[in-house]
Amino acid sequence: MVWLLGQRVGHFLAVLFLSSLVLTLFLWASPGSPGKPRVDIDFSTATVGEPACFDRSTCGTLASMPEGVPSTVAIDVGGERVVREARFAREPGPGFVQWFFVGFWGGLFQGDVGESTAFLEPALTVVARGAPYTVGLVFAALIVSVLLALILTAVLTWLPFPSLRGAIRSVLLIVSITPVFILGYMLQTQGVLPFEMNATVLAACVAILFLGDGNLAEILLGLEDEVRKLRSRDYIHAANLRGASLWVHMLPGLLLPVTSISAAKVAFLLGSVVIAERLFRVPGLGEASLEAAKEGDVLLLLTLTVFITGLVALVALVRDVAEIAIDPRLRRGREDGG
Amino acid sequence: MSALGRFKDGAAADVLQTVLRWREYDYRLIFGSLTVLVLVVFRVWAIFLDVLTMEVYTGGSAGGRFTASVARVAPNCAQAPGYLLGTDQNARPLGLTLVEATEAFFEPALLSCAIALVLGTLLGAVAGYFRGGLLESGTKLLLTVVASYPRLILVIVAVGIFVASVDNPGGQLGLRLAMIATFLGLAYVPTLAFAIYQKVGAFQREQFVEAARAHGLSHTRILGYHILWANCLPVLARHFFYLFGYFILVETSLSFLGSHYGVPASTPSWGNLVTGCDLGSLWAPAFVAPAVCIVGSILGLTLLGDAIGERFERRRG
Repeated sequence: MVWLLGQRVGHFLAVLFLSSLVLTLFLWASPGSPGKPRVDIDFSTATVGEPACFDRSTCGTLASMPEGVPSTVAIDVGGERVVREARFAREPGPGFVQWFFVGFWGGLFQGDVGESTAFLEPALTVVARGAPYTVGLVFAALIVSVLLALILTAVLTWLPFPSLRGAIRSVLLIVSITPVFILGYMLQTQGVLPFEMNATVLAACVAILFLGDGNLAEILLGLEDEVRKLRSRDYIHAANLRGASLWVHMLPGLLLPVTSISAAKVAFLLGSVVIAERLFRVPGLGEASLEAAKEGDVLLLLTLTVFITGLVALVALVRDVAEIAIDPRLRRGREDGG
Repeated sequence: MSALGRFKDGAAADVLQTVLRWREYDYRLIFGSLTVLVLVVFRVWAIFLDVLTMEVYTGGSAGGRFTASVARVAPNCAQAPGYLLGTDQNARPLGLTLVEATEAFFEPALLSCAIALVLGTLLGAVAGYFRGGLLESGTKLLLTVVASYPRLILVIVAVGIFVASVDNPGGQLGLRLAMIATFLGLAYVPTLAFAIYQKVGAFQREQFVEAARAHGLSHTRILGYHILWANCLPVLARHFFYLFGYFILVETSLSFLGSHYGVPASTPSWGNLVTGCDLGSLWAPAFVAPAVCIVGSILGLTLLGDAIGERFERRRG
């Protein structure tokens, strides 16, 4: 049991670190790389021999330092002297190891990763401010969809008319497959929602999140499938023959599938919430990620992505722990050496 | 075995037989096939559509007739006589704009599907076939890492970095769409790879795989032909249609968010057409037509994917 839990926690930490590393490698290779020389050289204080760059591939040391504000600057790059206009000369950016391991992860442990260029305040403050909205919306939408899907599954399972069941299922599928942005735009167009953020707006966000992008339909279809499988099990047949309540016997069996389906939906809902937040001007992480992407704020993008992937990995960890707690076969498997 | 024999016993024959059985009534297959047909017709039409000779309504001053001029004299977002759906925000016929807008997603969606299918199949098959080793654990960890990024956020990050680092992002639409397609394809790889991983793992215990091993066939032959080609095509077909539909959802959502993330407003996309006119009415064709196109396409493709997968699974028991 302890070994299994330790394994899952280790996996969570590895996923968290590797996901940030992969993203950083991508950001580093992109033209807007954080390692790109950005700061102009201050020629009033600069001296010969200082590190300087014209661009990422042309870095070396200042070879000449004329008086005043020079029009051209020479930089020694690997023994070769490169002369260009002074306005192109920059101070070198940080190295990968320095920026990612020391600057970002080191800063994360100290509570300060640096300042967001899009919001002009610490990146962690932006994340801390937006997280309650986004996390609240995602989990509220998830809980509502799962509860609603359970009720609908019960209704559809025991509804006596197959054609009516099919019709209800089809209508739900069509409504649920509608993208979040269309549902949100419909609410806005009809003047249903005011433009300032309040409880009504948040409730509307939850509604379009659980309904749109196929969220409700996918959970419903998944649960129906699980109920169908459970109903064919012997112990359910036996309970049925004894006249016992089927739901009492089926609900514990549904616990595991519900956990798995919910965990799988979190990443998807975190994507949909970006649209909902932009539509209703909710100052969450989705809105922050859109602003960061628009402004090319690499640090904030990385911080947001680490938080979001961490949340997804944490939910997967909770699912794994719940599976170990609920399913004795998993524990026995390990004890038997499996 | 001769080529004919291979055809009779192989996956191609399965596909042909299934196509012939589609005559049996299944509303999902009919609706899904019609959706695919409409999308293909729209795309082919858009390719041959000559925008410069598009008719433009000249209004009252020219006697209310149509000219072959490119001057934008028709009213924006209005019901002009002769236009079935009226005009869009750029005074172009909305019907033709909807056809043109398929350019924003059709080829990029195919690119996205190609990336996901190739990488997903490769990773899933290798991890599923060579079980119990470092290869399996490493591949699964890599897939879990990629799966932990919410897809839409990953695409927004990629597009945001791209837009922020080029001088004229609006002028590089093709590159931007290719980027969206690539990242969405990559983000979809874990979903497909895990599906293939489970399938390959299940087939490894089948007698035909044991028999193939006993005959001394190579791993590549067993995995590539006997397992993937002969038995996993339905999974790939299902995910192809899912991802195509999902690409439409993502592209239209990004275009709806604005020109920083998706297609610029000057280029037609179903996503930016939804809000282009902003007439305040849910019954205006300028809103209903693109919304129906989006919902209908996603629904049709999803249903088709479901139906194909289910039909093959049922046939194989």
